[in-house]
Amino acid sequence: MREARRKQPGPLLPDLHHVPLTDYLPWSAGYLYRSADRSIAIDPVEDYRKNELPMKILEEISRRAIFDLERRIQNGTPWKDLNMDCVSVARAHINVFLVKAFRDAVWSIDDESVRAVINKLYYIVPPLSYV
Amino acid sequence: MATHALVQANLTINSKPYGPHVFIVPVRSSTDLSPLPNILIGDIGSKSFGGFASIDNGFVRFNQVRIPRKNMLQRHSQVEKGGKYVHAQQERMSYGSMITLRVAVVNAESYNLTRALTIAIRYTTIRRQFSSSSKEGAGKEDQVITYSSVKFRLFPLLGMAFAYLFASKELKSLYVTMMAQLKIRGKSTKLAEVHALSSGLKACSTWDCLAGIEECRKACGGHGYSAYSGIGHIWANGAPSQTYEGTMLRFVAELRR
Repeated sequence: MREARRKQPGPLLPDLHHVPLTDYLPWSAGYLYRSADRSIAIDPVEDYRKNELPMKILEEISRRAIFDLERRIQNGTPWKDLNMDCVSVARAHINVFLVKAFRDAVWSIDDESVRAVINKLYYIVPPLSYV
Repeated sequence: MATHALVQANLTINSKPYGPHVFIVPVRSSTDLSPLPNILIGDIGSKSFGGFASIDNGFVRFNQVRIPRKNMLQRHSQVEKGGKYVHAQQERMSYGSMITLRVAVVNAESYNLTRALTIAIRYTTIRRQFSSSSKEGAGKEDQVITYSSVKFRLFPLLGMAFAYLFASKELKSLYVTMMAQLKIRGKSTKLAEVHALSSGLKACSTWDCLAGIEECRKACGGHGYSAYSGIGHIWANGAPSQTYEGTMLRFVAELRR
């Protein structure tokens, strides 16, 4: 099962009344249930390429975009004024999916020489190079 | 020339609307190919930027044309002889198939970007301009691709092209699972996810890939603007992908749901 089962609400979800509170979030949005790293330390700089830091940063950007949208909805911002917030949320989530698909594909490459080349591209793919 | 058209039209029975359904409609005579009575057929003309020049996109106008009941595609929902409407047992199937095109667009646009990148990277590898050697005439000029200003424009795009290709494969796999579930059980746990991801990826991939193709053209300098580079053709055919099936802003709003 790739869906992230929800037993306990994650730290962000109680605020997200507009996220469908079903029994599970789909696999691609499962990161929303994980506890958020409120601060992500990068020390030394080489750590950026280790421990999935780039992925964590993108996930955090997406979480915060959703959180900000939810807050604006709760503050009564008219729906027509939220279009660009929706765009930000959508873009942030697609960036997570895009980079995750890339990372998984790199890991699945058996040929070491091919993997090395593709792996170099992984770190300069725009969503990561914007981080 | 086509003698028949697949027409999506609102189904109305005794003034009650049942939404869009698909019908096979004869539009031209099978003997002399002239339009049938009360049917106006034409070509919409040239498209912007010379795109889709070899494809005929037509229009058709029906005026009080009767379509026999048997011409309705009735694999799922049906209309019985007496006019009774029978709902599809698997109504989500027809919705699921609407996602097909979006899934295909993500894949097609990432391939378009790889084609433009192949041209640009090959060109900038062959093309030499200026020499980093201090002595004039000391040797060949430098390959354009060795300039950091070119590398930093093209290689991240190459990474992005791979990212969208891998993402489109992942999306296709989710889509195949969803359709299989719909076929067997009439419902799928993947429907919402595939809807959201196909909407978002369609919007972002068409936006990013088209911008990337334009960057490839610019990286080729003046030659990139020549029709012989082939990049203009790729861009022109990719341009409508941002609007057909829904615009960027429409689709990213879908993803929010």
